[in-house]
Amino acid sequence: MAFQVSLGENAAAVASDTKIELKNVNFFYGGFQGLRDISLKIPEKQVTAFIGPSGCGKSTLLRTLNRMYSLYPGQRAEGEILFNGENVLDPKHDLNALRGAIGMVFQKPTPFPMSIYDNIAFGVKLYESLSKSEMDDRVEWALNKAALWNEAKDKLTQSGLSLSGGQQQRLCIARGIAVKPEVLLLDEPTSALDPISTARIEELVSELRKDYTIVIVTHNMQQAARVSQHTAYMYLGELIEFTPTAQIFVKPKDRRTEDYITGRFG
Amino acid sequence: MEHTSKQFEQELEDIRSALLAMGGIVEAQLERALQAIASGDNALVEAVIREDKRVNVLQMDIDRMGMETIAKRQPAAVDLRQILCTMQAANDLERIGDEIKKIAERAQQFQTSERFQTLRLNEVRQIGVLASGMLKEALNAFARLDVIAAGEVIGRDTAVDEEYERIMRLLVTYMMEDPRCITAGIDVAFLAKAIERTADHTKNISEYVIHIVQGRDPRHASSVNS
Repeated sequence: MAFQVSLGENAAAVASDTKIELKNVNFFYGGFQGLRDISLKIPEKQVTAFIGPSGCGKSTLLRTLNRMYSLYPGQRAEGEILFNGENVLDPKHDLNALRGAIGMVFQKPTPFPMSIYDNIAFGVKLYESLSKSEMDDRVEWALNKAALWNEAKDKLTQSGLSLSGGQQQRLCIARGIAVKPEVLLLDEPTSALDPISTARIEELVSELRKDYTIVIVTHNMQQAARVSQHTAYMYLGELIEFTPTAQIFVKPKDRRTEDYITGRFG
Repeated sequence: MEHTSKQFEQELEDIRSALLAMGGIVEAQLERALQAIASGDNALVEAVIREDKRVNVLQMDIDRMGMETIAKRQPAAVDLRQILCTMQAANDLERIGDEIKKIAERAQQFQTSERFQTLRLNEVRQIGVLASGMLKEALNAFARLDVIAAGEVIGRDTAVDEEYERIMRLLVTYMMEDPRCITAGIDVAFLAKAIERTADHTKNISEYVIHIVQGRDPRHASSVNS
């Protein structure tokens, strides 16, 4: 059912278990502090959206969750990010296992310059040793999950780059879920796509939340309103408000959130 | 703080202005209808009927403007509440307009009845004063988005309800004492009911002010809390 009574929707949004808990997270780009004392609980098998103006730290926050930032020198995070009870910011935490468990899809589709099949199999091979038939099944499963199987099944050997932009992004999502992660991070996944492709990705996100915890960064507030159950509004590296989505777009708690979502910002 | 989009700001202002213009007409209509009860003046009744068409057109204008703005701007939070509540307030004003038209038409039909003249003048004057005062204050509260004034108007609806109950008890007594009063008594009851309904719609308009400003829906509080 697309619409629920308000009490039901909020109760469902609040009642979920926590999948990732951030405690007093600070983030630094060299001497510049990009995140300030962020604490929040990301609920399991729900969609959490981060919104805010450019430079507010929402993508930075996303990139701390699977330590994507550690690819770059001079960037560091402090505080705790508890994922399945372990602090992922602990230098001893296994990064490969972490990124297998917390997958990521980027703003622009980034298929590897290889076949559609290998785009998906490549990641799986890093984590699992599967037979040819098992791998075939996994590729089909992932493409099905990403709502791309029907369009791609007859051209699995063609280059991933031959697909349209929307299809490429769904291929990247298929690649992300093929390793069976627990969490999927989406960094503005539809900002480079046309409205129809965007609608398909949004539909896919709603479908995937049955099995995965999803965190999405978006500039499109209506998209956050449509696909997420919880929304975090960030500004200048601070978490201003973290509220059930049904509430934040109707009656936000903080005046700064209200100014932003009603277009009174700046 | 103003919207970054000045056009959006202007669209919200246009919808608000249309509602206040509509409110001004309805307020004047109620005064005319109450005077028509007292005087039976045909010109007043005709003016009420004529102006009611303007009220209807304004309601449609407000609905159209509201829908266009929602479609274009996807408003959220206070903007969304303001547009939706203004459309609802326009609906209530239109309904008040219909009640006023009924009052005026009924006043015209029965101006020849002497007994009715006496009854209607004495008994509906007070409820008319109460209802028209409420409407004026509710529209002021809407114009200023004044939650305290809106709360006061909501409280005043009880006085109208009590006055209506008093009229009904009195009319029943008259009609039991003298069956020749029954026709006139029913007509007065009709007028009192129509005026009481205008106060109910006025209360709704005041509730929208609270909903817009505080994001809290004060309607049917007893149903929600039970």
